[in-house]
Amino acid sequence: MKIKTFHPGGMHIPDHKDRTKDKPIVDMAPGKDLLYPLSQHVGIPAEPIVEAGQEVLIGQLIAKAQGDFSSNIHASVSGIVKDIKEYPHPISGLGTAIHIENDFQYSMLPSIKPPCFESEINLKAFVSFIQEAGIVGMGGATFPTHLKLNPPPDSSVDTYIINGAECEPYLTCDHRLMLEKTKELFDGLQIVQSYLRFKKVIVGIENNKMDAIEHLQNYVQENPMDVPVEIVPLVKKYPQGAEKNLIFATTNRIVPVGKLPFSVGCIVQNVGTLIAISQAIREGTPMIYRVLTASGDCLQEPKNIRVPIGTLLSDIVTFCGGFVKDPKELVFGGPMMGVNQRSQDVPVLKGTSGIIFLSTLEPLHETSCIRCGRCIENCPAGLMPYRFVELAKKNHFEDANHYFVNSCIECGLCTYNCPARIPILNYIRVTKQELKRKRSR
Amino acid sequence: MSNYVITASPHIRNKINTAFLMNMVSISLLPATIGGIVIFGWTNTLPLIALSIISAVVSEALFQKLLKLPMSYLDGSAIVTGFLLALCCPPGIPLWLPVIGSFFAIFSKQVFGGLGHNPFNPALIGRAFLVLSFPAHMTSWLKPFDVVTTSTPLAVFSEKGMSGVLGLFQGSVSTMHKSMFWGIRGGCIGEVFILGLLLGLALLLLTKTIQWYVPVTYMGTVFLVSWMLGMDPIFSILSGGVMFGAFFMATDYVTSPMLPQSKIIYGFGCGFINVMIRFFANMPEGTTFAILLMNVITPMLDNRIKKPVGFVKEKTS
Repeated sequence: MKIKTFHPGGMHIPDHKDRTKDKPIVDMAPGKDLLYPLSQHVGIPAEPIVEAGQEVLIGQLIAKAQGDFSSNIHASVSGIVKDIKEYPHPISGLGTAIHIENDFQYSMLPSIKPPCFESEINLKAFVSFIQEAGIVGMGGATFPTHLKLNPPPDSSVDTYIINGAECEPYLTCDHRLMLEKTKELFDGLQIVQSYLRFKKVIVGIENNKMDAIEHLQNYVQENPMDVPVEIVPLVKKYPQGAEKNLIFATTNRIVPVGKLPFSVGCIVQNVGTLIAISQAIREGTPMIYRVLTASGDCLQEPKNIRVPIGTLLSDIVTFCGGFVKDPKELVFGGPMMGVNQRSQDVPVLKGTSGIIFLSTLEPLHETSCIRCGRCIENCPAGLMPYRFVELAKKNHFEDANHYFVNSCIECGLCTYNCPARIPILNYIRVTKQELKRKRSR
Repeated sequence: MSNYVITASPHIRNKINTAFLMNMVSISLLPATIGGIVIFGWTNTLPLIALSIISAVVSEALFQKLLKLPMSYLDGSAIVTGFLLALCCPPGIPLWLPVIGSFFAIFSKQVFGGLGHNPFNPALIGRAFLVLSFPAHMTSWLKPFDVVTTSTPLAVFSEKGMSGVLGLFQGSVSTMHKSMFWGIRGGCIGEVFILGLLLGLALLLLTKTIQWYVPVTYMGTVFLVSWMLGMDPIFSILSGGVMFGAFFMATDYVTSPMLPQSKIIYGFGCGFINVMIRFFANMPEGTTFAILLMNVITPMLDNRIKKPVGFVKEKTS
């Protein structure tokens, strides 16, 4: 079995996955209050279509997508809309959200039932169904799925890549999904395949999940599909699951700078997204649940949990038995690319793949660059990250373009490795913002 | 409101920091140091090494205090500087030499703004300063396991040629190679015990403290160019401080290039200049000045733009 990987750069990071990798996904009931921020995806925020005081049921549309580059939001519990106002937002800090008080009846919207369409409907109807269901990429980037399933007419997509790499430390939710929801995963694949007719399907999985690799290989052998499905073991190397790196590792194709995977004939989707597609088509449930990993060294019982979207972080902490020691940092997502939280009063979003409670802080004392070259050696985009620090310190933001600053995928390896503890990625972010500001002026 | 810390990602860090890397270099120097101590006797070496390190650390603290810089004198870099300088001094020299050498080495680093800003390898500046200011002291060599003075094989070579060198080793080439590999010859404390240097290099490479480019291209160039000039290439790489310099001095992060291609050019340049000095200049040893000269063009070598993954040349229509 050939184990594949990408070049250049990347490195293995202690993954801490042992805490949760053998724990089956458990369902968790939400608490009394749930929050539904209007911006849970890349693109334009949705617009609320309910009012304070209104009763809502599970699966009911509460905020409508604004155009194609947006996504619908549905209620994940039944109850009463308390208010619609600014609440703490896990990513942007503050944002308008719909506050629903749970009535603990869990009454389902009557129209949530298997939609009775077979493969007769055309691609366009299928894509708009996915759009209605509010499905976005569940790996964390939350790119609206209907856009990915609708390649531009001038591209010839032949390869479908399922992302089961899960290269972020601590996270194990995709791992558990591949083991426990195999049927739904391949059902989702079957559905997508019936519309998009790929020539080849590849599932990329890091080889620290050998049980998942073997399990899927057996499944594919026992349930052959009308398209070759290859389960590809990948070297455990961060950021193996980054879209462009995964494409290179599995197909040897290189996505040109500034282009989308369509340009090399690939579509990449997370395992969770495919399972969501299957559930939407077979059961009629829109995107109202997600599986996430609650982990870190502070939780009493780290778990893989299936929660209704909108559940508050504080309820998850209670569900996991509280803390064994006081956390210093709350991270939404993985520790490499995730976002810190100010409080536990923030809700789970569609793209929340993990909640990590860390008791140790990263060192913040910045010293001089010793020119060791580790940032260059490990950069998966092939950049010279230290240059961006030098340029940003001199306010020479324009020159960063010559060093291809916009190729940076913000994986964080440069900062992670810097022996002088320079937050290199922060300088890159500032540079990108400055350039954007100058361009818009 | 709770008091969770808010920082931008990533939220975890590699444990390896500057001090760890510097200490790794110091540890890698130990095998060669032990060899030197055994060969020349501890009285001729240990006080010299200790004083050199102490002087470097104290000077660093002094400069940082005077220049109101962050007090980072214990981050291991001053220890490495003092250590390296002591190892490239002849054994048994007066103890005030390494003390002022280390002081000058640290001075050469701090005037440019401290660690990370110095264009020249501090330890080599210290050595160059001592060699130029006190040439008599810096070229008096102890005979191994003895207290009488002798000459280094390289010095003999530059005076009398290869036959003179063979005269030191009973006229046999294989005896010469063997003695030189085990360090039974006159020379600096750290440069004579080749096995120890190789062990140190292995340690640096295995812990990924340095990359292979500079030591390999440096030694390869010295071997090839000496061979082309008609000199015994094995004698060439075993003699003088070339191996010590290639493994521990030329690989200094701050003063060597960062990109792989630049490292290869740099290693080649060091090796080439080194052999040129040995052959055509009026001194037996060239390592110190070869590396210092290449330090000068390091910023130039690094002044390149690396193409990112997926780079497409823009079509000029």
